[in-house]
Amino acid sequence: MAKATNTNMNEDILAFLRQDELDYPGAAQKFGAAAVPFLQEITEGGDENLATKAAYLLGYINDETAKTALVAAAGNKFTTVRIAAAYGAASQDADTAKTILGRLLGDYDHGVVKVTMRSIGEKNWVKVWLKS
Amino acid sequence: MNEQFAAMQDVYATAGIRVDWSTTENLSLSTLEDVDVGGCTMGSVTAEQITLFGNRNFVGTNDLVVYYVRSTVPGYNGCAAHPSGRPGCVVVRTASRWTLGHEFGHVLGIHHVNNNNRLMTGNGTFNITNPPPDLVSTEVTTLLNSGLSRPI
Ligand SMILES: [Zn+2]
Repeated sequence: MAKATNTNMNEDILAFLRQDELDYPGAAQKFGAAAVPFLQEITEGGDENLATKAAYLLGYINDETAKTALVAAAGNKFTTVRIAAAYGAASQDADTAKTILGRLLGDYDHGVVKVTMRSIGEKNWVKVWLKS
Repeated sequence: MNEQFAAMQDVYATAGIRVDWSTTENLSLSTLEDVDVGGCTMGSVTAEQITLFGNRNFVGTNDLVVYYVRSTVPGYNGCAAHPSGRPGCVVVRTASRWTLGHEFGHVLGIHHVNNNNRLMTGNGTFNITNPPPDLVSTEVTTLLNSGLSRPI
């Protein structure tokens, strides 16, 4: 029974990720923490389009497992997944955000660094970092 | 890009609309390769969208422009929100072959439907299984009356 429910939810998650324009906050509300294992699996898979969208959705889910998955996404092979991790970091707690953004600030890709800087700006840490 | 354009021509041709590709420019805008489109809401654009859509060299006032980018932030296949008077959309590298036609459909005023046989499916153009997907007569009327298309 539980397995059938999971299968259905995984199908719903895939259907969501295959959309052209996505309502991430709405999907985070709808799927919640139960979606995290499958989202992490997609993030680590070979389809860049779906992996990227899955990583964005992880950033909108407020749960410890989602945070862990988002930290892992910061080390993803796809640049756009790392950008999603940098973007999602802005809405995480300070420790999670620092782990992700500290790592991605040194990324070789300019797009990752751009979004990382923006998330740092949103966290209002710039002054603190400049002082220290 | 060629494939998406050809796919768009196919769909619009079924509605009696010819789509011409008039000019291409490679923009060296590395900071906009992953462009912030916010919530991608029609009528509301980010600073990055305003900068990107400012690039309209050799493009007529009513011509549509597609900006091909690596990704949107956050991640979509495309986004049809554009600054007023600068009709166009953004499409990402990994989008479906129908995304361009779909986004231009939004720019021309047509909206999502819950039907995967149609170009404007809100379920994702990756799911289109009957190429070319349909444009229904009410949609064609809207496209023709958009002010951005012209009789030939
Ligand atoms: Zn759409």
